[in-house]
Amino acid sequence: MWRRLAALVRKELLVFLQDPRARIVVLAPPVIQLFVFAYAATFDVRHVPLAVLDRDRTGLSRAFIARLEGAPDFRLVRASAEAELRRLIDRQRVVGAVVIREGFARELLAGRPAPVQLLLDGRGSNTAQAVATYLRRIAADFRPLETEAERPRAPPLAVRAWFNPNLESVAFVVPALVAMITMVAVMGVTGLAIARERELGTMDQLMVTPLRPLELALGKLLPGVLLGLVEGALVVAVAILWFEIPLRGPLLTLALALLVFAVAVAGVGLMISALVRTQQQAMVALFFFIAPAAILSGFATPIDNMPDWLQQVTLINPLRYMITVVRGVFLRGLGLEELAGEIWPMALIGLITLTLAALVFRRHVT
Amino acid sequence: MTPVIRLEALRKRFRPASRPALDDLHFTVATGERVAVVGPDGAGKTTLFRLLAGLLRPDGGRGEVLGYDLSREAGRVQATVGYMPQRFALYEELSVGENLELRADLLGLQGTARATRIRHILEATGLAPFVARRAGRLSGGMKQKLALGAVLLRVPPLLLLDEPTVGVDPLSRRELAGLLTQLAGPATTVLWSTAYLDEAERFPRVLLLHEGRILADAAPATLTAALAGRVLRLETEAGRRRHLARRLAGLAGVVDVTPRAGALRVVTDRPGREKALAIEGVLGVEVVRPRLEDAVTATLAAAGVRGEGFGPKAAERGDDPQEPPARSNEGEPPLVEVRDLVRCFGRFRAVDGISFRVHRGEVFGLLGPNGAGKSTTFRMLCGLLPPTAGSARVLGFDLARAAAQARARIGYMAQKFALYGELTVRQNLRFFAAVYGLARPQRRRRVAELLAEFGLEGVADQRAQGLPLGFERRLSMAVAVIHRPDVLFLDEPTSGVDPLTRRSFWRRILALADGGVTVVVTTHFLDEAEYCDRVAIMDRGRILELGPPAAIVARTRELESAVETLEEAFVSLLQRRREAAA
Amino acid sequence: MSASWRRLRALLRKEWLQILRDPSSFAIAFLLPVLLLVIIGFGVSLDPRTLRVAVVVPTPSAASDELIAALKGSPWFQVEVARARQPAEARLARGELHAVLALDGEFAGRLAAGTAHIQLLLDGVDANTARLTEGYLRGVVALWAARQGWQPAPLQIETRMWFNTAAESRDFLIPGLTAVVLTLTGALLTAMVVARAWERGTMEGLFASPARRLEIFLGAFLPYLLMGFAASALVAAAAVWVFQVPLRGSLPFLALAALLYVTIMAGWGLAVSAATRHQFLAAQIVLYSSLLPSFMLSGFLFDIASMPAWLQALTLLVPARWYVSLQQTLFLAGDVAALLLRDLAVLALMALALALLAYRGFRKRLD
Repeated sequence: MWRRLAALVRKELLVFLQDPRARIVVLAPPVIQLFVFAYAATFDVRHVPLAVLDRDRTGLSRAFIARLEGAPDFRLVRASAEAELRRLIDRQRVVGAVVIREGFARELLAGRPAPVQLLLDGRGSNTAQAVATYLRRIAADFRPLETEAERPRAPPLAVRAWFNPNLESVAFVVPALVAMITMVAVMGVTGLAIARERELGTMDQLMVTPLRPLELALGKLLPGVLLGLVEGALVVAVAILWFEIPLRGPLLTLALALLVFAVAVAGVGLMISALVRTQQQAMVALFFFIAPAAILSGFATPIDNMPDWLQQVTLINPLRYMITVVRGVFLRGLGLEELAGEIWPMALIGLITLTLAALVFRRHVT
Repeated sequence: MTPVIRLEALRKRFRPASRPALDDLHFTVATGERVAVVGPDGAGKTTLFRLLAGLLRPDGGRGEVLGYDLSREAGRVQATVGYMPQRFALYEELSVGENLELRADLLGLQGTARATRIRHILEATGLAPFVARRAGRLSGGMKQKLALGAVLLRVPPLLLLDEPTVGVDPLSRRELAGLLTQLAGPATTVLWSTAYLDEAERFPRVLLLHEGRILADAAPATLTAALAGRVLRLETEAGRRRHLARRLAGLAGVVDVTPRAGALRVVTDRPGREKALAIEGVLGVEVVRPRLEDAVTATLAAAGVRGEGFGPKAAERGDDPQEPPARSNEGEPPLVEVRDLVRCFGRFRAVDGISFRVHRGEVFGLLGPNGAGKSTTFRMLCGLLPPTAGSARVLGFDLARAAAQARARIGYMAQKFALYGELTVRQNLRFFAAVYGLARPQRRRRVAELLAEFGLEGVADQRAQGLPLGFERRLSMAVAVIHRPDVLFLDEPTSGVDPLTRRSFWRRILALADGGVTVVVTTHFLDEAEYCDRVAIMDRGRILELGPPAAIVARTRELESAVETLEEAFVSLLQRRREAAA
Repeated sequence: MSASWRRLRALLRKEWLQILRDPSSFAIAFLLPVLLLVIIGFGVSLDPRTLRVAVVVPTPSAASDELIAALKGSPWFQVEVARARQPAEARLARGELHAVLALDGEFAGRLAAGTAHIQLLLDGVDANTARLTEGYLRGVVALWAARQGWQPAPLQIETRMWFNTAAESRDFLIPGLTAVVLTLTGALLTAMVVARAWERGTMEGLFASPARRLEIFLGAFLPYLLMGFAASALVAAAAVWVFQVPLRGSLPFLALAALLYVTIMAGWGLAVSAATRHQFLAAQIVLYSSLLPSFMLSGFLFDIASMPAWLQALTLLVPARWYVSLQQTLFLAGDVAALLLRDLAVLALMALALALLAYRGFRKRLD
């Protein structure tokens, strides 16, 4: 049994490493995903263009503008008239505009709230809200005149963001890619495996050998899990070394969870593989699984934001749990004890998918 | 009158550094000529047809088709010629009727003439009952008939048919040829490429291509004339034919020995060798008419082509002159036993209650037209498909249910290449050796042995993908026997390979059988089926005839005296049955 | 009826039957757009529904009670009140809370002295949600301060959100979603079905027929153009009636934009299938060259303005970028001529280039 299994795994890896097409399927996605996602998937506001119109033209208004200029979040674009602002926003040259009204300095000196208008482009409402938050923060700290308070002053907020002090999306996105890329690799190998052999005719050649169905299934499962774990490990390394995201929790917990996760999705991959007739169908079926799994995982946008019924649906998505685990270990420094609640659902899903895969395998392959 | 085709020093090269796919081609074809284009796989037949259809541009020389220049007026060529590509170029998702309608629209057929022609084609091809069936669900023979019918919706001045009979049984092959005569007018010029030389022989002109060059261009009679007096028929003692064939092959002056209708057919190097061949066991020697296959084999050999054959020739092998003891297997239990086997797909009975037995060391052929149920039977025997009823027992096991150990004793060679193209020849062998449970040192020894035995040492570390077809088939067979199986299943082992290579395959198969291996084989080359000890001719899920080829020929001859070969017997039997059914 | 038109009609019918009868093509053409519409439409949202906040109040006072009341009055927050910091922080660390608002023990006293401050701890793992939480909390705290009659902050920021007054992410996501869906029916489906024709040799059969190059090209192009167009109508209808996104622009512009974008996608699908002549490879290339960019580099979800400069430059080549911008303008801003013209011009150029590139593949030659 072990000799045959070893031969199968060895063969599978050789085929995948030597077939240029299979290599594309297995090796191109991680590289493309890693870099495109890491750099493009950002909700951060960094150097976004913001227009400024200074109607007051006083020392104080200029001091305020200087504050804005000093912030890393904005790149200021000076405007000289209201109409220009409108045009800049319409054409999406800027994400918003700050208008310092006339009388800014006067009101400020009189101890009354000085009016500042913030116009935002709602076509990118997320960026708009981030800009508003940053502007409020700058405004709250802007106290150019230390006047004697007549009334008690509102207490300032001292804000601290844990785990990600500069609130960078990259820390949110890159760890999740460990889970995502592992999933795509595992499914790419297991999902296409049988359809491929069927298309090439090698399936028959295998079926007439003394191989047992279990050996055949394991021979497809193990290489997929193995390649997935290798790719996952590479992403972990790139996350730490290139993106400089600290790994705060125990690596062992991460490895264990990734193994459980890889086996769970390999079950899904095998099931698809046994059901379809051609590689083309396998790919379409994989897409039907991967796209919803990725979107409903909390990878890009939080599960909390979804409607309740959809949140229930995410409970059967193994990727959801794995992303929580990988972010938990990387950023929060959580260990096995705290994350057990995420790992056992994956184990349960794995048990179900493997059982189903075994049934489908028995019925459709042997 | 201008010729339909005129090629002058035509050349086509796909990659700058490589050998040209076609080189220095000169020939002309006049109106109404029928030309068979033959040559081994990779000779350049398909490239030639694509060039003539205006789908490829020549790199050098001049070519004209129907007066249009192939380099400059390819569009006109495309619109005028009728071209049937080698691969099934109709739409599998469309029904038979929809495919014909589409073609009629593309050809611009209209009105009542169109409806009449479509009906005519449907009737002539026998596809009328299947007009609503999807093309993808037709049998191989029916697909080819549909494709030919579609090309002939409008009778073109030039018809280019690229291997229309590939993978098609002898009866369907004849029907296709008949269709052509029936549907194309006498003014239509036809180029027909084929791997079956008996088929080519019926054409008035044969063009033999090899490695992109024309080796011969003449009437079959002219080509065979050179062999007059060199082809002999030897009556032999019953039951000793195989052994005698081997001994004859070792004699000086013998070029080729093949079995034919219970006798042996021998090609010699010059006329007048009759005496030398009359060895002990040979009952009579008679000069017979040479066939095109003999001429092609001789021409290829004269051109220095060795074919992709392998292994030592019988003569050089120097193996035992001793005859294997006459076996009597009747007492032993049969190794393959099929009893009332049935397999249904939905309501369709693909295999409809067949029974036969195969004994140790026997070579058993499973023959029949496309869709007769051969492959289904074959798959059930190998355990790839469970039977609906009845039993198929191999080595006493039901392989569909039996333990894996039973499968360790059978070997299987699939019809199409079914190994790992990305792995090298050696890696493929090692993998299967391991799957069959050979331990490491044994594995190494066995792989080395097989590489030598099948002449694969030169390509051992090349990828299996892209090997010449002959090597691919050899590798497939090496894999099938890697574990020294007791029963060997071969599904069209020689399809697509040149005649020389086919000979070497059969030498190997017979040697295995002599060693006690039981062989079950399917083939569309009925001259090959003559190598079998017994054959079963199947049609529509049932066995029509079962017995030694000579006996079947003899029985059929009683009904139709012109029958001489197994192929003729096959066609005659099937036609009779079809007529009876109609 | 001319011969040419009859041939074209036959080819169109053939293509249509092929899509309907191949399970994979059918799934991509009809099931996938609906599936994506549902899961992206409902599943992708940047708007928090409830933010879990703990308020740590060691010694309650009138002011702190009113702060809690103000938080509870906001629709954004699910508030819990704690006496001690430790357990609240532990829950924040496990990701069970979005934020902790901590007052110290002498809050009331320090408030009078003018030295009070409030500590806000955010869960920074999801940076975007953290930022939004901070923004909402600042708003509530400012409201509370005003109710207390304390001295207001020196600046009063008056925010106006143009085009999307409710600031709902769905309103800008759904119009952009069309780009993702059209990539599938446009590029992926085209690439797969046409590459199959090459792979199986049916293209060879078609080339060796009287059908002209333009007829074959249109026969393979128009069905996907129409299906893509239908898919865009589906998404637009769902946007307006299911997701309640306002449509401020005009239908002719919407249709024109969809037509150009679908032309680009179908053209790309055809070009890739002619170059690879292989279904599987064609599909892979299309997935990575058009689906991924349409999701990641189009501004559909992630703001291009925040990407690194090299990536921003790359997005200029992504058709979806221009199409998403058009969609967002048309839905949320209306027919803003200046903006529409730029995007339409870029798309028209790309459409022309890709249609020509695709046409090149139909030279009726195999070499």
